[in-house]
This record gives sequence, structure tokens and C-alpha cells, in this order.
Amino acid sequence: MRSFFILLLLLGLAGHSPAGATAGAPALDPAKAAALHDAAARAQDKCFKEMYRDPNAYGLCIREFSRAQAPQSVEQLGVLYFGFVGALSYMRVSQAGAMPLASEFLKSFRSLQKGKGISDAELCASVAGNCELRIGQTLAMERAAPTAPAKSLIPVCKAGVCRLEAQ
Amino acid sequence: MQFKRVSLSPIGKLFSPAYRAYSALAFCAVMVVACGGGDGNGVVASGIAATGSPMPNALVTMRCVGSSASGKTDSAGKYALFAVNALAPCVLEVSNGTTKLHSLVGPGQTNVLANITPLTEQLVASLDSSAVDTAAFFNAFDASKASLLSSSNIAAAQTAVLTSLANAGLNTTGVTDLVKTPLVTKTDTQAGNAYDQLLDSVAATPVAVKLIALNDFHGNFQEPSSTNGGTVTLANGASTKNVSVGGAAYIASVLNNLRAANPNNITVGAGDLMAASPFASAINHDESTVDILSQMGVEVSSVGNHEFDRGITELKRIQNGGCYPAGYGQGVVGVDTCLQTGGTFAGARYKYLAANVTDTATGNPVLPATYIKRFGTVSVGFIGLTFRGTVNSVGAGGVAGLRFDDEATVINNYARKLKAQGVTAVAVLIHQGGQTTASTFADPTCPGFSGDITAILNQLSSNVDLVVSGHTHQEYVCNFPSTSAGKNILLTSTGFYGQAVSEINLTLKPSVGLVSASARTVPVIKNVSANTSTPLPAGFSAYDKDPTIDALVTRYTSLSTAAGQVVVGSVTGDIKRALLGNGTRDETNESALANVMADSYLAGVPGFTADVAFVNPGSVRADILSTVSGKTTGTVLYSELATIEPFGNTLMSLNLTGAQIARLLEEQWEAPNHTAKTNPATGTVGRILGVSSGLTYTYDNAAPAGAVKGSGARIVSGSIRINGAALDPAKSYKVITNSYMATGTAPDNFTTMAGQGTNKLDTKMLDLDAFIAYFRANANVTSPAARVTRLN
Repeated sequence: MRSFFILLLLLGLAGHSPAGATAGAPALDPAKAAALHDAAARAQDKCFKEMYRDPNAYGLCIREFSRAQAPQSVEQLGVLYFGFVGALSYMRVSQAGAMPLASEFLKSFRSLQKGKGISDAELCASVAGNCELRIGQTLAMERAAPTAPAKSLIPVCKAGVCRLEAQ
Repeated sequence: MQFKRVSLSPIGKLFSPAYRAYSALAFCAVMVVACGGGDGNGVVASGIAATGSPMPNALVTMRCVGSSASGKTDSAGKYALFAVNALAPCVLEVSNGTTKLHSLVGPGQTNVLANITPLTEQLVASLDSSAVDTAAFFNAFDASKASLLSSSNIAAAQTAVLTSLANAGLNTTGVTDLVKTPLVTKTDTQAGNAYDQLLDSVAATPVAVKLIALNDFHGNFQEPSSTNGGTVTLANGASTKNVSVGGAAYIASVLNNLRAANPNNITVGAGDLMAASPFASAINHDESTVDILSQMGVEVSSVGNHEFDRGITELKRIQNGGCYPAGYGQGVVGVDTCLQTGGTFAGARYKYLAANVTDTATGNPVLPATYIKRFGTVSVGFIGLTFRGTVNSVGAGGVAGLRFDDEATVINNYARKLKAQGVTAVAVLIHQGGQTTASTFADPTCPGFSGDITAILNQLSSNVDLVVSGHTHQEYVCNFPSTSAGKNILLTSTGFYGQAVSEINLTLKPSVGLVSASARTVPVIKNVSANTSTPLPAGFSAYDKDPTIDALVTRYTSLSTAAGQVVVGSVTGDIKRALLGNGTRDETNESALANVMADSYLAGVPGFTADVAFVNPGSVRADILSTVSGKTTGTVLYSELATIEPFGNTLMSLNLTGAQIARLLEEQWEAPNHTAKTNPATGTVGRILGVSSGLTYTYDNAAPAGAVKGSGARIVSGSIRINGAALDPAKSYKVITNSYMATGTAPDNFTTMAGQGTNKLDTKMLDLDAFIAYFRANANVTSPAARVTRLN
């Protein structure tokens, strides 16, 4: 309950221009804000502990949990946004594997955020932290040159048995 | 030496209410006459026990060489004891159930005034490092401990304590001897004397103490990679700045800088200081790291799960010193062990604490639980422990015979004891942690804190004042509102690989305990142009290398390089794992190198034969490349094998039926392995085990994956063969695997070996030793032909 009030307070304080919402649009419906916050919190409870043990497991956990939400829902957005924030929190300590995950979930939540009328500030308020900095970091990652595409794999066959190897 | 507990009944009769009207000194004068005038038949001690205020009705015990005695103080805190047939020196303890204080009787004395106060407590603690834990010193007092109570030692300790009091601005006039100066406590009818006023001043005078903490160093005395622990993101106004951090030589400078600000300091750790470490440390079994941390002034640390990676015997060697056992090309003095002067290894100067780890055979703790550090008139008691789940996060060989108890229960138990012993504050060093949602380093707001440590914090008693944590490789400073303690508990963690240290500032008052606590994370920012070409954010500084530690780092780097260049074998070409497009491990396809590793398992234990060996693909961490700059083409170096197989697992044997082996192979694609590892580019899924020579099978990649455990059906019927013969479902086969896969509940989601294997035997053979032995025994190893046939 306390976190909900904090959320409302943050929403009230958030004054960033929305990247995913129309300027002058009405503030996010409190029920939607709560759903967003709740989904992010559940993703944190369920997946965040995996991050230091195995970033791959964290990524898998977030992906599976997001698929368990209704497609294109606010809840799915909340899960994917937490996936980004959790990875970003390990990017700040240069944990191996954190940056690719942050990039992946950034793209994922952005595609869901579009058309939902939810601003960056409103989205940011769903997870505790310094929103001015986090939104700045988010935009900076989007501005940064895309990482090199993964090398393609080619089948290498010996005696009729094929294995996929990096080209 | 046995102490003889003497009944006080003859003396106790003299403690009638009427007799208590006499002063303690007068009492003793009578007693001495009664006992024969101090002719060597015993020791009489009397005085006042007081914290400032008298300690009424408290138990006083005197332990001397040869005898002991105990009794109660009166309502004014006065006591008198007679230990028959005792010889001084003696130690005294007073306890009222919540507070313990200690004092002493000097050598040769038979009839003496001996007050017991916080100042005599400080005196006893100042005698020697072994006496800092005064309660332990008292309990273990014997002839050898008595030797510390020489007249010269006592005089030196008196001088040290009085000097420190004077330096703290306290008026010591009139107090020349902390034990023997008469103490008159203030009452409604009398003023306290100089000693009493000094006690009051001491109790009311705050002392600033600085703790410097680090965790999860993992042997990174060299500067860590920028992409794995070597960079942190700082807030820089509304923007951010990435800075490179870490390296023991830089950490040492940070420590020196912080220590200079307050001489009342201690450097502590919260576990995983060693193990799971880079090659330069792993090659010498982390002796280099232990030496460097010792010389950097780390004084005490909890154990972490990785301290148990190589078992308790090895951990005790790390603590106590000695060379690594010789065998399988390891344990060579001057090469991979005993690298210190004279071919020795002295062990860690810092103390490892393991309050919740017990030897199941003896029921005894495997290492000390607590450590006390005194800072003048105040002291901090440390409790060190690791998380209870360590038993499941370390290979079976590492934790065999050990029990890991509930963290909060253990902490509360020792915190209560420490406070009863009189420590001013209790700090917990625990290898368990949490995570924040901060996006920059050193964010003081601790946003969104969560994690396994929260449940522990919410069970702690109010005796706990501070928690230094680790394990999650996160950085935070939090004031955690502990529901059980009814107060905020300061909580810190520093990230990993020496990125930063926590600077924790405490204000302590002897009469109160912890008055205030604050902390900040100090990143170990290197003074290099990449960091400083633009200004650092406000509040952060860059540091030069400490030359002494830098020289050590250079020395150990050179030694590790030389040791790693030892040629242990040869190959005809590359031997690789299956790889994803980005060059990382692809567990969904057969790995040639995992198969070679399985061969080494099968050949691993001299005189031990088995039918088949299995390796989980996650145990293979790198590839063998025939041509690498800096080595002769085709050679295999020690450093390469140590990088490929870094976990320190042992090889275990077990029996499986043919039917169970078939189920084990189906587990490769059964839920949840079908989603745990995937190849996004090809859509292949699962974890393909490395298998030893002689085991072949075929599976259908088009068959459904993700079946419920026990119902998968991807293996082509009848295709499993061992040494050319069809697998016999009823036959019992001897299997070798590593201790990680043979134990636990579901290692890498495989349960057949760990759960159904019978006749399990830990061969104690390290997997790396077996790998080295295999390459030594087999020249020109070739990447093996596929043993697994994939259809579709």
C-alpha cells in the first residue's frame, strides 16, 4: 500500500516530457499506473535474484514472465520495463551480460509502450529510482550506435553429422 | 590446567549484612589475617564493580593460577573474594546478566584492591591481541595466559590506556592505576571521586570509529576487465560518467586515504574474497590474493560460499598457512604454492569467521564465530557468516561434513552474547545480500531494495547495529527498517572485484552503544587519463597506485604467468565447444571439448574404471586453440586448462541402470532445459551433455522438446550404445561425473544422476587434475568425431 502512495507521489512529481505519449495528454490512469507498478514489482520478486547468478537465467525469467501476461497489456509492459531496469542496475557495475539484456528489454518495452499513451516518466515511476538519470540513460542507449549484429551460424557437417558453428 | 572451584561458604558467612558495612579494604585486611597473613595460601581481591554506577548483586569470579573463586557484589557494587591455594596473577570478571567487565590482579599479589570497571576492561583488552576478546581471555585463562599478566605488560597497558584517555581529552588526574586507585561512586550523600568522575566522562564521551568494508573480491588483485567489473557508472549531474575502477594497488591507496582520516579504523570483508578468481590467483590456489589482502590490512572477514569451493581442509590451510598438497603437477613450491620468502605460505593474517558453519562429526564450529576490535573506550563485536544455502551452491566435496545454520538465529545468538560481554556495537559480516534498482553507482537512496537478505534483516534483534553484506555483486548503502529490531539497520555492499569499498562511520558511546551510523560507497577510481581527462563528478576522487601493493601485484602476476606457461600436452588442432554466433557457449549442440573433458573424467582416477562419463556443458568455459600468440603452436598450457575448467569440482562415481542413463539423456531436452538454453539463431534447445568415448546415440531434433520430466522421447529407440553394445536397460553401469552434477537437487535441471545414482563415491580427484593428467598421458589430442547424431 505504501509503495502505491509513493508511486502516486512519483507520478505527481514526474515532469519529463513523454517519449511515448502525446504532449498535453492526461496523466496516466491510476489503475493503469498501479497495474504497471504491480507487474514490475512481481517481475522484480520473481526474476531479479537470477541476475547476479546467471544473466541468461534472468533474461529467460523475464521473457517467460512477460509471455505469461496478457499480450500487449500494461502488465506485460511493466514486466519488460523491469527487465530493462534490473539489467541496467547491473550495467552500472559492468556485470558481464547485463548490457545485452538491457538493450534487448529496452527494445521490447519501447515497442509495447508505443500507442499506450504512457510517458517515459510514468513508466519510470513504476520502479523506484532516480528517474531523471534513468530516462537520460535510456535515451542515451537508444542514441548509441547499435551493436554489431550477431555472427551467423553455418552448419558444418562431418560424416553426415552437422553442427552449427560460428562463421 | 584445571581450575579448582572453591566454595565460598567460609568467607560467605562473613558477607552478613552487618559485615557489608565495612569497606572492601577493611574487609580484606581482616580476611588476610584470617587466612594467615598472605603467606601464599591464596589470593584476596576486593573492590567495587561499577560501570560508572555500581553493579549491585552481580556475579564476580576470580581465576588465578591454581584456583578460582566467585561471589556476589553487594548493593553498592562491593565485592571480596578469596581463592584458596591460588597464585596471582589472576583475572576477574563481573557479570550482571547484561554487562560483563574484567579486571586483573598482578603477579605475586595476595591481598589487593582490584576495581572492575570499563577502564579495567580496557586495560585487560590492551594486554595483548589475544586478550581483546576479554570474555574469551577470561574463560581460557591458564598458566600460559597468565604469562601475559607480567608487571611490565600491565604497566605498559596502564600507560597505553591512560595516554589514550588523555589524548581523547579526558581528565585522568587522580587516577594513576586503573585497578588500584580507590573508587568512590557518587550517591545521594557523597560525591564521586576522581575515578568515578573519569568513568562518567568516559561513558559520556563519544568515539568515532571507521569501518572500511569490501566483498566479493574474488582474487581480482589485477585490474578487472572493463566489461566485467572494471567499470562503474556514476551520476554526473543530470547525466552519467563511466569510470574505470579496481586493482589491488589502487584499493590500497583508497584504504590508506580513509584510514588517515581516523586512526580508529578496521578493514573488514563479507566473503568471497578469494576463489572463482582469475588465473593469476587461481593458479596459486589464491595464496597471492590472501597475501595481498593481508598486506592491505584486511583484519577480519566472513566466509562466503566460494571460500568453501575447495573444502574446509583447504580453507583452514588458507587461514593457517602451509603449502598446497603436491600431486598431478600441482603443489610445486615456488611455482603454484608457497611463494613467500623461503618457500612458505603464512596463511591469511585476517581472520575468517563462520558463525553458522559446524562440523557435523564433532558438532564444533569450523572457524571462529566472532571477532572483537577495541577502539579506546569502545569496542565493536563482529559476527561473520555465510548464507545458509551455501550447502547447495558449492560442490559436494566443498561442503561435505558441514552444516550451515539459519542466519538470523545464529546472528541473534552471538549478538546477545557480544552485547552481554560489553561490546559497544555489533556488526554483522554476512555473505548474503540484496539488490537495488539504482541505475548509477553510489546512489545513496537505496531505491527498490529487495533480495534474500531482507528476510534475515527482518528477523534480527535490536542488538545488531550494522550489517555488511555481499554475494549479489551489487552496490548499495541502505538504512533498512528492520521490523524485528524495531529500528533502521545500516546495510552496505560494494559491488564486486574490488570496484569500491564501503566507508562506514560510527559514533559510539560506552554508556549508550551506537549513537549514529552513516556510510557511503567509495569507488576505487584509477587516476588515469581516461578517468580524469574530464572532471570527475563532485564527491569522487581518483587514486594513484600504492607502490608496495603494486610491487606485490607485479610479482604475483609474473609468477602466475610463468606457472601458466608450463606445457602439459599437445593437440593436432583446435578443440572447441559448440558456439553461438556471438562466440559464447552453445549448450544446445554437441561440444567436442566437453567430450574430451568427459574422456578425462573416465581416465581420471588411477586404478578406477567406469563405463561412461558425463559433463554438463556449463562446466566447459573456454576452447583449446592450437595457435595462440605467445605459445608454441599445438601445445596445451596449464593456464589454458585452468581457464577451461575453473570450478574445482571433484570427480564422483555412481551407478545408473541402462534405463536411467536413457532417462538422463532425455533430460537434455525435457522441461525446463528446453527453455533454459536456446540457440536463437537456429531454434535448437536444451543442454547437451559431454559424453565419453564409447557412448553414442542418435536423437531427433524434430521431435517435441519440453516434455514433462520422465516423458521425453527424443532419443531414437535402440540408438544408445556403450562401447559398441546396445544399452542394457537392466544392467548397472558405473558412471563418472563431476561433484556438481552428482549432488544437489537438480543441477542444471538434471536429476537422474544426483537423485537416482547409487553407490556414490567422491573420488577426491579434482576435475582439473584429471584434465591435466589426461593431456600429460595423451600426446597430440585430436578433436573427437561426433558421438551424438542429430537427426533433422
